Amino acid sequence: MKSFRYYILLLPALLLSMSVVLIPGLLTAYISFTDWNGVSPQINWIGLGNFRAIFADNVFWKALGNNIRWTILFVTVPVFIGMLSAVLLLGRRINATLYQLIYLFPYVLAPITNALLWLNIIFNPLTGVIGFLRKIGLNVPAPLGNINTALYAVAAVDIWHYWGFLTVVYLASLRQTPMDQVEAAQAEGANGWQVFRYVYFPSILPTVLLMYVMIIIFSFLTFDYVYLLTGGGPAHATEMLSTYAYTLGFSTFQVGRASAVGLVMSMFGLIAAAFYTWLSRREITE
Amino acid sequence: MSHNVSDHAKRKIGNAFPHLILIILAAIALAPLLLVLINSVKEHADIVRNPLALPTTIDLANYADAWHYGKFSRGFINSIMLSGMTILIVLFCSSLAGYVLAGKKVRIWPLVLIYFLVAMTIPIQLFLFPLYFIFARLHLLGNLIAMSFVLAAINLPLAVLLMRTFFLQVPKELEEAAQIDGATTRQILWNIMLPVVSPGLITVAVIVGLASWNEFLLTSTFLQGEKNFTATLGFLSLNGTYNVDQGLMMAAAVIMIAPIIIFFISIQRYFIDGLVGGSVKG
Amino acid sequence: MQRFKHLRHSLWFVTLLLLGVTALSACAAAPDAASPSGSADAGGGERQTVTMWFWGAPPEHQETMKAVLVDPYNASQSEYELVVEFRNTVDKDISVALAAGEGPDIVYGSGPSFVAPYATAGKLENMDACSAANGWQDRILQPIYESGTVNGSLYSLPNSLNTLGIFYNKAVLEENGWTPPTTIEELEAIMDEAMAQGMYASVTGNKGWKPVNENYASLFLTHAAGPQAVHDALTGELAWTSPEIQAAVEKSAEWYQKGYLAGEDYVNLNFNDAVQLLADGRSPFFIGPTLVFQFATQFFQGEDAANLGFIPFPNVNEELAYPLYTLGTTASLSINANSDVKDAACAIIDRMMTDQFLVDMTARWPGYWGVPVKEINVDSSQLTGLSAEYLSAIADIMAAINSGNFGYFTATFFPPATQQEFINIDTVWLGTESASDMLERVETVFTEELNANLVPPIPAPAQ
Repeated sequence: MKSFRYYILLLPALLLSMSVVLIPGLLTAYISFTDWNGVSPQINWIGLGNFRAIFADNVFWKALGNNIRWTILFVTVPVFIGMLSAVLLLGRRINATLYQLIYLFPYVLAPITNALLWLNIIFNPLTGVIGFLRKIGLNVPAPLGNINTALYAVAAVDIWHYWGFLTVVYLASLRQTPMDQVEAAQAEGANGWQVFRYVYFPSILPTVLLMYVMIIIFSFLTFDYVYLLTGGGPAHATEMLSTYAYTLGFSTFQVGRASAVGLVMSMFGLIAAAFYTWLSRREITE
Repeated sequence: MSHNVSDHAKRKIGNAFPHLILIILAAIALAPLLLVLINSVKEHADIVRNPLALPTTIDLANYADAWHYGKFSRGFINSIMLSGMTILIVLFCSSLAGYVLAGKKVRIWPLVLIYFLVAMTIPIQLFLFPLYFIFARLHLLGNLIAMSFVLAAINLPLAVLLMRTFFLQVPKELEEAAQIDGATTRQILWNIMLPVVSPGLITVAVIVGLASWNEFLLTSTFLQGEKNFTATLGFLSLNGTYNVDQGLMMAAAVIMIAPIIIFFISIQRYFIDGLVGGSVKG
Repeated sequence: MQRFKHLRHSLWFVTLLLLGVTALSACAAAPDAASPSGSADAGGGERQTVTMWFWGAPPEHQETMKAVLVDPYNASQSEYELVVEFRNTVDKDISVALAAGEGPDIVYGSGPSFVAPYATAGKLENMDACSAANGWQDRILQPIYESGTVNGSLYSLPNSLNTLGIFYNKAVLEENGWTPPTTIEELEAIMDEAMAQGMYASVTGNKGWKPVNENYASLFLTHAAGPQAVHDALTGELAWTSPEIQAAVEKSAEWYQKGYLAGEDYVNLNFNDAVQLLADGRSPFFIGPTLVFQFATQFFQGEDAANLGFIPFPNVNEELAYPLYTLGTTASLSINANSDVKDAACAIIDRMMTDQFLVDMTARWPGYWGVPVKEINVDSSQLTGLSAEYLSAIADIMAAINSGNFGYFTATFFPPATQQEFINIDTVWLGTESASDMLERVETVFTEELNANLVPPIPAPAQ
């Protein structure tokens, strides 16, 4: 009887989430087995046809490869910058908060603002820094225009906006390391690196792992910056699963196929979520 | 004596180098934003000439034009309404669910927790189409209130997990004492638990507020018609139509950036607490 | 104690937030509630609203549309009120709204290949009766009219012709002693010289709008493969993998790789940037669609307006007729099947399908209103500068179409998935796949679409 009351308290959250995420999600799963074009009242079951089609499409594999390259970039570059700055901030008594604030500025701004300011003021050959450098005689290539650099150029903007977040999270975690352990290690003559390696690092390891899982999940879902900066081009050089699905759904009337891509994307999400659950199992069962 | 001095100098140098790195990183974070600021008061031709130069004259006409053409007066009102309603819905749902999950009040709590973990990882592309058609069928397109329910649902998983963490930090004795005194569930929640976790509520509000303020994929799909445009959508449409004038675009960017930065600075403690609470396991 | 302080702050915060949101909701609700009475006619009679969505044109162009279309129509009768909404995301808005059985009364679309699925799904109104009542078949260019039909019935008409050609800066050509090119060799020679001087060979770019690629796909299909080959491919009589089509795709790649399409800046420029570069004399040419005239008005102002010239693109395949134009349209106009005011929508579209409308719109908004009428019989002597230049380009195209010398714009005549493959032609340009690999995929995709009846009617070119 008592427990019934608590179910009611859960109800708003579950109802909302299920009606917006779960039920449409299941509908999408159904659509992915049909030839629906998003318009027609006719919906025909075609079994695994959409999956066969996307697996036979080079662009799909290109996009998947880009998602993986994106993931590798994100689990290295921002993690390194974030960790370095967090460790450096840990030693500062004054201004640490100020630096954290500044580092977070790009993180709190809208992707659309960030993307457009980079496009217009950095990359633009007319009004941007790139254009200015050329005008004074430097032969600067166009980062977004080259298929070998486009992915890195887009990732650079996204990393620029993201790394400050990691700084703050790592710093908070570093600060939770018991001071007596740090002092004990220093008393025994450990140098800065040794203190980090043997005292701080084990202490923040759960946080680092957790952030890795989050980064991987979001790397497979990444959409905003790619869509706004290149739309997946040039020549699919920055195509992601998300932009691929978006084009299929909104440009070529292949909603069934787009749904199949969405389903594949959520499979990756599911794997990551399973890993996340496994990581936080201690907390779940505490 | 001399030994002391050199030791001091060494430490100073040892401190200066890390500090330099921190300053460089700050410059990287700030430089593009500062470029936007200095170019927002320049004419388009001056930007073309040299985007790095400081403005010679300060021309605020860009701001007036950007405000007018970006339809920001309506955009900001819509954005505030949308984010505000989203926050209220999320706070209501997530605090109730967080309380139940933290206290393991129901037998299926691990299942519910896992559901929210999974829901956090589902790509928007997976439910965008059917949701759109459901909305259209119910004539809810362009409806800010309905939109706020969607944004709330997207932000809900993280909020539930955060609220659960905040409830976990409340000493068990507090609730037990109230139960012994014969308080009802509603009284316990409303009079005892919620006031204690209210810093957590603010944190969730801030995170959800920023996320819904910055959103553009769902809002541009569901909020059709200029009268429903949020500030973000106004800015997006400005880029399509007026990007011949970079001065105007930069002014519009400042209009977008400044309120968020000011808001962020004033609530930064809650925001940082939330980021940390959601990601750092104690 | 510390906690207690937190608590008071927090409760204040939440309360203020609640108050603020409630107040704002009330404010915002008020004008909405008042709007039905707002749309009432001053005379007391209730006017029915006819809606049309359009892309987010700049304010001066919105004014032109109001002055030439909206105000005269609303003054001409007292039953209906035309309301035009300018939306930047009109393509997506329309497609999602239509699919859900919603949307405006007059449907803005991106052309015949867009119209077919919606017409088949019953989302668009059959316009045969409207056409017969207004004599459209006599008035409208036959190939254009035909392309707007689905299974023999009319479902859309384009608001404007659109073709591809070369914009050039007359001053730049004069300074360098270049004459406007009429053969591909002359064109390429000038572009090589321009690049040697540090100029762009030509300016263009797909920043923010990847489909710009298809302009160049269409251009080389028309001028290298030729209209007959493309016609046969679109009707299923010739494989897309045939040598002439492959040669066309390879020619476009050669151009891209030589840097003829703005070089590496192709992805960093949009049409506005490109026209500005052309106006600044940093390039002799801008090869692109005639709708670019509308952007040019902002950069070739006053006396500079005389500096902008437009010529047809020369043929790569010398056996083809010259001048040859790629036949395309900008947008299409249809009537929503769920509209309550179909007659009014028909009357409004009819107003837009006249040579008078062409001239009136072009006077202030050149580039987007080349109404596809068979000929222009009204006085157009008041047009000057870019408007006159555009009008003469449109007149040339009309003549070419009447004599059958036209190719096929991908956006107008190709079914959606095939069109998307040509938008992705940059894979060949950037060397990530060969032209034959791309065309093999085109063949597969196209065959699927042909079998699904998604190919619009393809008017035949001159033999």
